[in-house]
Parts: sequence; C-alpha cells; structure tokens
Amino acid sequence: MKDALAQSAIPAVGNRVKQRIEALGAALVSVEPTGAVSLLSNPRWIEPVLMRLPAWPAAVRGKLEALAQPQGSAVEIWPGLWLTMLPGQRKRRLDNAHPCGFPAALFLSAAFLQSEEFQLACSVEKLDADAVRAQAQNWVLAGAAEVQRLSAMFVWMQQDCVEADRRVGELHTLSQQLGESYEELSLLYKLSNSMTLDRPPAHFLTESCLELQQVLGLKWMALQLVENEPTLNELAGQVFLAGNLPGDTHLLKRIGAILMQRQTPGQPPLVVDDTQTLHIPYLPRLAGQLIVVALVREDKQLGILFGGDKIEGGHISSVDSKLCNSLAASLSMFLENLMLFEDMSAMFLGTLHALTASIDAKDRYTHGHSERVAMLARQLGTVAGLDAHDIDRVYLSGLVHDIGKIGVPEAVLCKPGKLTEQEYTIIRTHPEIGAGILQDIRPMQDLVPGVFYHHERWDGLGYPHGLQGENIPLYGRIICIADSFDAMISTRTYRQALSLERVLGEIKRCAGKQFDPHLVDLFLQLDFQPFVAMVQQQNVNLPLPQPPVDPPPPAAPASDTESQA
Amino acid sequence: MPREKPLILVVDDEAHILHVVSLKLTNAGYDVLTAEDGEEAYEKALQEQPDLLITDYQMPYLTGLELCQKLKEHEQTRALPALMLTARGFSLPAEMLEQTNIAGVLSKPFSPREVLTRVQELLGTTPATQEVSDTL
Repeated sequence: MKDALAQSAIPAVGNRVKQRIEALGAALVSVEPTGAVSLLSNPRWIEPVLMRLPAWPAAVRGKLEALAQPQGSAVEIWPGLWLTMLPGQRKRRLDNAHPCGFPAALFLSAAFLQSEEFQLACSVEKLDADAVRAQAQNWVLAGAAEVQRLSAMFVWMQQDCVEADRRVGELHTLSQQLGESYEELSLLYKLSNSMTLDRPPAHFLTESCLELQQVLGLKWMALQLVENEPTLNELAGQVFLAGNLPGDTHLLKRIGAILMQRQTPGQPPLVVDDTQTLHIPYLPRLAGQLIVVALVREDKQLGILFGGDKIEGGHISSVDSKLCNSLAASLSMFLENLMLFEDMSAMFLGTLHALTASIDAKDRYTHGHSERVAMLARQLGTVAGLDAHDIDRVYLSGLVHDIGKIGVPEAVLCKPGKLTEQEYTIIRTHPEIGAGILQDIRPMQDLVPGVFYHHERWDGLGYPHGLQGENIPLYGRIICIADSFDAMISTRTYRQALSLERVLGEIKRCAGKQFDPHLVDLFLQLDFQPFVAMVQQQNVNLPLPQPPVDPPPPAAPASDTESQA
Repeated sequence: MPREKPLILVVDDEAHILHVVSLKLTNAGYDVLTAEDGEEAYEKALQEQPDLLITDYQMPYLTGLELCQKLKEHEQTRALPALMLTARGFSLPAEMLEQTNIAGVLSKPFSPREVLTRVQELLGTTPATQEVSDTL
C-alpha cells in the first residue's frame, strides 16, 4: 500500500526536487486528506522511526488547514517536526477510493530531539536516544527561523521545477507539431515537384496515394475518379490504390461511387470513427475508421480521396484531415491542369485538321493528302529513332506542310495538265507562304522548318533555297519523302495513281538525288499495305483524270511529279 | 557492455531539427544523443561510441562531411554508419561518399518518418517504448 502510494505520488514531484530535498537533510513525504503520511524518500535510519509515531494522522488532520495555505510556510506538527506542502498537481489514482497524497517536505529542528515523542519513538525502536541525537546533529535545523527559510526555498525550487517541466512538455508538443509540419511540407514538396505533365498522370496519382497512405499511417488509401468526364480520357472511372485493402477493388469502387455521391463539393473532409454509422453495405469490411475528401474543379466533382484505419491504432486526427485536404487540393489542381491541357490539345489538333482539310478540299484529288503525309512522316520519324516529342512535331509538320497552298490560286492548283513556267513559279511559293503563316503562331514555330524546306532536294536542286544534304533540316527531309510517296501513289488531276512497286522503285532511284539516302533506306522498310488500302479507298470515288491538253511525259520521275504536287 | 537500445548521435546546429529528430527516434525506442556542431559531435562519438550518426551538412567549425571523414579515419569510429541531411538540391560527389560511411542522404525539408525508415533499415527496428520523463 505504501509502495503503491509512493509510486503514484512520485511523478507529482520531480526526482530532481526529491534528491535536492534529501541532500538538504529533509525527506519527501505524501500527505493524504485523512492525515495519513507516507514516506517517499529513500529511508534513512531516522525516518522509519518518525513514521512509527502513533498519533500521525490525528496530528496532521488538525493542521491540514494551515498546511494548505498557499504561501507555503512550514507547519510544526509536533515540537520540532515540520511539514511544508509543495506546490504541484496531485496525481489522481485510478480508483477514487484511494486518493493519493499531496507531496510535502518533512524536516526536523533541534527541539524535536528534546521532545517526549522522540524519547518514546526511540524506546519503541529500542534505540539509544543519545546516540541518535549525536548523529542527527549534522542535519537537524537550529530553529523555527531556519526551518521557514529552507521551507520557502523548497517551495520556490518546486515551483521552478514545475515550470521547467511545463516548458519541457510544451517543447515536446511543439516538436511533435513541428515534426508533423515537416512531414506535411515534405509531402507537398515532393508531390509538387513530381506534378509534371511529361510523365504519365497515372504515375503521379498512384504516387500521391502511396505517399499519403504512408504519411498518415493508414492501412489503405484510394483515389477514385468520376466516370462521366470525357476530358479525363482513360483516367475516368479509374481507382488508384495504395496499401493493403482488406477486400477486393470492385467492392472498393462500388463503395467509392456511393461516397462520391454523399461527399458533395465544398464539404470539409469527412472523418468517421465508426463506418457502421454510414450504413453503406460492406463498408465496415474495408475499414472501421474512414476519411473522405472530394476532389473538385469549379464546383464539379472530379473524384474522391479516401482511406481507412490507422495501422498502429488510434484515431484519424485533425492533422490527418488537414493534410488530406491540402493534398486533395493539389490533386484537384493537377487534374484540372490535365483537363485544360487535354482541352487545349484537342482544340489545337482539331484546328490544324480543319485548316489542312480545307486546303486539301480545294482539290478533290488531294483530299486526305496532308493527313497521309503526316502519318507517313510519323512512321518514318519513328524508325529514324526520333524521341516522342520530335515524332509528335514531325507528324504536325506533315499535317501543315502544304498550308501555304492557301495562297495559290485554285486555277493553278487544280489545273489538269502541264503548268506554264509562270504557274510553276506561283506554286513554288507555297512553302514560303506556309512558313510565313506559321511562324507567328508560337506553338507552331518549330513546325516551320518542315514546312519551309519540304521541297528542298538532297542534291541541292530543290527550292526555295537550294540547300544540300544535311543542311536541309531533318523534318524537311522526312516530309519530302512522305509527300512524294503520297503524291505518286494517289490519283492526281494530271495522271492515274502509280503502283506501289513503281513508287518504291522511284523513291529508291531518287535516293541521294532528291532524297536523303539514309532516310530512304529506312523508309523502304515500312509496311505500306494499310496505307495503300487507305489511298485506294480514297481513289475509288475519283473520276479518271482528264486527258491533259498537253500530256505530261510518261512515267514522270518523282522529282517532276513533285514539283507539281 | 552491449546496450539495451541502439544509440544514435544526432548533430545539427539548428535546435528545432534536433528536437524533431530526437522525438521521432526516442518514440521509436532508440536512445538519442545530440550535438550542436561537428566538433562536439566528434568528441561525443569517440566517447559514447554510438551505433549511428545523423548529421547536418552545413555546420560551423566542422561540416557534416568533414565530421564523417574524421570519424572514418579514427580507429574507434571507423565503422560508424552515417545519414546526412542536406539542403534541397545539394548533392555530394560520389568520391566524397566513398571516403566516408555515409549510407544515405536526405534533403531538407525532410520527412521525420523517412528518417526513421532509413534508421530502421540500418539498425533494425526496436520495440517502441513508453517514454519515461525524468523531470516529472
């Protein structure tokens, strides 16, 4: 009982204070409201003697009021035996039937050694009173004034220690919070750095879930996107999951859909301690505790971020909820950018297609030409080892290569038969006109070389600048081959389509003359069957070309054919 | 005499970093010793023979890297592994890492959770103990 009491009471007074009290000759005791006093100090020989004094509880009870005075002066219980209550909180014990005591310092003054109580205690313990007196001289205080001074010191000391402990506790709390902030900062920093559009968005979304799941210490964390959002493309309706889900993902997705309906945009994160209360079938199988945050773009829901159960037990806290909210905001922004980007590229491509289709439409014999050149240029770019970005750009260059024909009169463009020198001169301006149109549109500036130089020849006999060999930009050399190929394989106003063998033979023959020989080698390896089928489909509906007034030379070489294309 | 818990020496001239790292590690059941500069850390490392060093790079008197080099040169601390905290975007040359026992570099603002994970990889996990404060 005494031990239990001692253990429960010690934390109220620091070990530091206890050691100092003992070093100054006093003892630390615990005083209960009943007046019972028990020893908390390591017992020296005299203290057990003191504790055996029979009238302790009654004597202390009589002085309780004086002891409880806030100024904390020492109270004399018996002649020469003093107690000072130390400030500090009384520790509550678990069972209220045994309240634990207040800490107090107990000390003796010289008067005690002369008292009857002392004599009595010595005789009960069978101790020689004179010998005890002689040993006690070292630490017994002289009189009341000295007792009060020491008592005041103990009280200050205890106050300082309580204050110091409070600050240590505060520091502890602040460090904890600072650690959480570091965690949050580090997470947001990491994710904002990986929030780039040049990686597959699914990677970023999966990574975000994983990071959040680990930082929050949840068993699982999922991100589910809405089904009916076309600009999300293949991401629509997808679920990204991190951690260990105690169930299958189909169930998760069904529950996610229900949560998505309930968690309307603008609501703060939903934290549920017991998922039974949500009345969603099977949800308690996946999680007991749940956190749900909506991802929102302009009041429109994009998806939800939700996770369940702390791995190490405990509750999902307000810090967790705050962090989830920040991340949801970042993810929403990411998705919004993704959707804007998707909108923009769709618009960009749509506009380009519309523009080039309108050029091709001027002459029904060139219908679909730009599209096919673009496709061939992409295939050739791919086998030539270009990176994804360059392949994309060479495709677009192919798409717009003839855009300058918008400035060439239809009478010249669609003329069946041989062109006059003057008409040639007009048609030869189309690369320049095209480059002029594009160079002022910033996102299309890198398409200019492909457009401007697609009629240059490897041997330097092309136009507009007569560049030679590798001085001709790569996009130009690629489009040149694709353009010539499509022109020959299609029916034109001035002649029928040529056979694939004939066209490939012509391309081969012109390697090193009209075309980059290295690119020709690569080009000849391509599979043309799907392409030819497409062209034939196109040619079916065309009337046979008008017999030219002045027929072009039979089996015109590619170079001549092309100067008209 | 083998220790009950692994001892980690944490060095940083910024007190708040020391507090955050110490708290995370003591809560996870490690013993932590702190130092506020490289020289103090060097002395404590020789004296206390910790099982792991976590040090900041940028410190007065002795940088984290110099500290690691000195410790590697001393017989008693030759095998002491280290984790280094650096500013974001700062990277240590590979040959510098070879001259030391730096087992990992974490950039600030670091995640305390990540620090703990790296420590556990190097020292193995310890059962988290209830923290007993001596002051209360």
